[in-house]
Amino acid sequence: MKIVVLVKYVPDIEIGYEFTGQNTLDRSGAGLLSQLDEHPLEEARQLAEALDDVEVIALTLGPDDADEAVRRALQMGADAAFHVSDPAVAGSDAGATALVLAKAITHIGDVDLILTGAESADSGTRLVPVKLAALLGIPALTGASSLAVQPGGGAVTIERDEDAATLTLSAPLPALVSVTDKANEPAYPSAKAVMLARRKPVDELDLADLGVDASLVGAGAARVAVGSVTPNPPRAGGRKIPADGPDAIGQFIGLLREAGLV
Amino acid sequence: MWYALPVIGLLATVVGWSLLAWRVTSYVRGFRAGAAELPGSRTARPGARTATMLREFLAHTRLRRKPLVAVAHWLTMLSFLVLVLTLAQATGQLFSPSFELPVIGHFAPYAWLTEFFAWAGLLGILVLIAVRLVASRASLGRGSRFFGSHQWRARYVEATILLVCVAVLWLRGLEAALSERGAESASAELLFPSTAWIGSLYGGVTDAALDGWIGCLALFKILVSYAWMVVVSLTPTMGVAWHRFLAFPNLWFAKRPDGAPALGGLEPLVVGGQAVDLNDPATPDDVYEHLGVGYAAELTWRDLLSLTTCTECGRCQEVCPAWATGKALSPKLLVGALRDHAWAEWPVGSMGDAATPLVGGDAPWAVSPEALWACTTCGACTAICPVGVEHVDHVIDLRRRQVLGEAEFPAELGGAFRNLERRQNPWGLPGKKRLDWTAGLDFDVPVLGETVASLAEVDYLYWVGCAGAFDDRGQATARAFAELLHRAGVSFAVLGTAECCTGDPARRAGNESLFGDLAAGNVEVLNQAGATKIVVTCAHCFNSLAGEYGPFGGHYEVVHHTELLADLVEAGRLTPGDLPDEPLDAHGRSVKPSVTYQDPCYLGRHNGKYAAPRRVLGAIGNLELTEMASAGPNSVCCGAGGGRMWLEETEGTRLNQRRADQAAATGAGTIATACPFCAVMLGDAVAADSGSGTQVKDVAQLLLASIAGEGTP
Ligand code: SF4
Ligand code: SF4
Repeated sequence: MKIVVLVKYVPDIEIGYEFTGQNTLDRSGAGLLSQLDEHPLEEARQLAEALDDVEVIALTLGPDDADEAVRRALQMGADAAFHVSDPAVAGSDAGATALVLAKAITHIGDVDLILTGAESADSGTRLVPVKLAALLGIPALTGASSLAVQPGGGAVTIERDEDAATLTLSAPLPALVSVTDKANEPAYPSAKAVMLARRKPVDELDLADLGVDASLVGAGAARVAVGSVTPNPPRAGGRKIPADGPDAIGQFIGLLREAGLV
Repeated sequence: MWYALPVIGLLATVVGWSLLAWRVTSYVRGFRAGAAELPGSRTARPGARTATMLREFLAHTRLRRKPLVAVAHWLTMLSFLVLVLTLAQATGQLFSPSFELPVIGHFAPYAWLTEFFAWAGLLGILVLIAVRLVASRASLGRGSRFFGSHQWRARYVEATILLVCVAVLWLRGLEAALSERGAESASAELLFPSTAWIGSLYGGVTDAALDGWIGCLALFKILVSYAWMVVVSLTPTMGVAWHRFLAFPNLWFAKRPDGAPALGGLEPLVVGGQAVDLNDPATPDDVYEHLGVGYAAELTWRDLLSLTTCTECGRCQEVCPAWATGKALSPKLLVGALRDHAWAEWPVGSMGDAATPLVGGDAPWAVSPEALWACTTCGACTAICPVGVEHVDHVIDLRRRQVLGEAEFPAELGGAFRNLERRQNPWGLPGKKRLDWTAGLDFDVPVLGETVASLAEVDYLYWVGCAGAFDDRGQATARAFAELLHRAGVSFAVLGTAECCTGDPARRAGNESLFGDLAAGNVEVLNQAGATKIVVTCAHCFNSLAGEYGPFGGHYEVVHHTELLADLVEAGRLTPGDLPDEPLDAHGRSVKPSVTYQDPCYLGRHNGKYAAPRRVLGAIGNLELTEMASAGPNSVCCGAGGGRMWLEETEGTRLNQRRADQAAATGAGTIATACPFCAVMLGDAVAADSGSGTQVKDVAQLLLASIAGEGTP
């Protein structure tokens, strides 16, 4: 079984981010593998452990710096990686991104299962997985909090936790599944895994390799234009009540009253 | 019938010595089968090693906290050596009751020495027996240092010594009686000064009966001694007996030739006797199968020797803060578990795939992960162990395997590791905030590369540390220290956003690869900046920068801020004033601020620095320093070390609360410390008890308060 995990190199947004003059995220600072993508990687690693003959491939579309995300994906259990990088891709919208990824998946060939994170840590549109599945003509199961592949590999079943109910969904393979952070606790790679990752093959590809017409991607081809970006003012710091302090509960309830919440 | 005596005696002799020889050979073969140590690390400076061994042997310095036991043990130990010859004497007496050792048998000083040490040994062992009985009484439960020790083994050894001493004295009395009857009766007084009275009790018995008494008693003594030899030879894990031999080589092969405890900077990761660089692609693959210590076969020969030497005296258990607060960890039981494990799979390495992992697993002697991760690496155990067991290194070796090899460790640590990887500090805060602590100072803190072009222009590089940069209390200390430097006219610069965690939390948690990355990065920055003199406000940063960066090419003169402040005060460059009085007491009298000082483990025990902070505190006016019951080398951990700062503390009671209570027992209103981690832990503990009003301050803050006279900052 061949599993492709889509991984993305993102700026470290948890510690704050800035925008460029072109209304895009400033990606010049240090980045990392999107934390949300660690969950599909972990899921793939666990599947590879549980089933025979599983090959896990990490696929990323991103600048040269995205090597960092690729390296991490390989440490976390991917057997090989494909890194698509082309200056023409910069500024692509979700549609163009999905197009390039679809071509890359076809290039990889014989893919049974595509795993993605619940969303990208930076733009967070959640559009790419479904568009990609549509382009490939395969079913997409989104928001999996758990995932199982039928023995023999004919179908994939997921659970999706929704506010009202938990759904169990299945689809025949090949299929695409997006995995949430509830699915697993990503394992920290051992030193041996880090060492072995250095030897795993990474294929660097550009648009020409994939046969993608450069005019279909990039900022110029974006069908959605970002009119303006206005960063929100930082949230005012909350008030801390030490849990073990005097009358913590009383203080807490007092605050709720003040705010008119009780 | 009397022919039976020598026959039984000689049989016992042959069996006893043969088994002992067999066991000693098996020990040597077993130890040699252990993994290699870093070349030279256990043999460099043989002169100093010999001196250390002799000092611990003759002066028992590690027993200083129990003077009665020290004296009793000293006497018992020497009596064992001196009384060895009485075994030969007794053997001769099996053949002829009037047997005397050639040459010395009639030599009065030898006789006196024997009698003195027989009585001394008797007295010593009686004291030790009493101490064990009292210290292991059931009502103490876990509070006994002997909890979990193999008590029957110890009692057996004690009984043997007791019986041997009694037999030696009794036999001498009988010998005195015999010599009274012989030609040389005049010498009885001289040769049997303290045992002739025993002989006088036998005045009425016949010559034949006296001979019979001597023969039987000699056989008894021999059987007691050889039974001991047989038992200990068959019980290789009986450190309470074996330490009398193994302690000598174990002390000689100590990590620090001069006898300092095996603390401070850690040794690099070693596999097969070679330091391992995990970032070097040329490191052979099979090395990755043996990172740290995961199986008995990976224990080094010194590990095996040291584990086997443990006497189960429980001194380490008694001082362990994790054990005292109800955690699964006891350093003694950890050592015992590793020892039993190694011996169950002895000769080490012979078990192949049947060997079981040292940590986790269901072998009865497996170390539980809870115990392994409860250690704060405070070093109290290692500092006190009389036979030189190096607990902290064992803990680190086991953790290294768990992290690097098995990727098995508490989940919270994964968060700290990721923070260190991504943001180069365990808090996971953005590096660009590293200078936030300078806000509010009324002078500009010089930053290298911004306001200071080269470190050649300044006296010191001030290494702020992550706590100084990101933690509220740490920031306040950093501000106070910078202000003091500024006032004293000491020029300094900070690295600002170029500073990264020293890697201490990663290293103590076993993540050698992450530590290596951080250390290498820091050394590159420091060397590029031309750093030579570095001052730090954190005990952990001190330990890493001063003691662990050498192998990475980082050699600096590192001083702790309390050392620099003490020097500045004594040189007259800072003039401490008086601390303001505390609020009036109930009787309206003024109260002098009373301060107690918490020795940070990584400043005190790990690096031997106890004086400087006290010099500073002593120079501050209107301050009363009240030491805690356990201070200085006996100080008790706050609970933050060994990566524990980043772990939940769910088992038992809290370490920080316990130490805060000990501080409160001094009646001091202020706990002074010299490490931001102690400040966080103790600060949290006193905050939880809001009625106490106790405050926690760094020494620098108190000094500044006394100078600035504006109340405690
Ligand atoms: S390790 Fe040392 S201090 Fe601890 S029980 Fe053994 S001999 Fe005693
Ligand atoms: S280092 Fe401290 S916490 Fe760890 S075992 Fe020794 S005494 Fe206990």
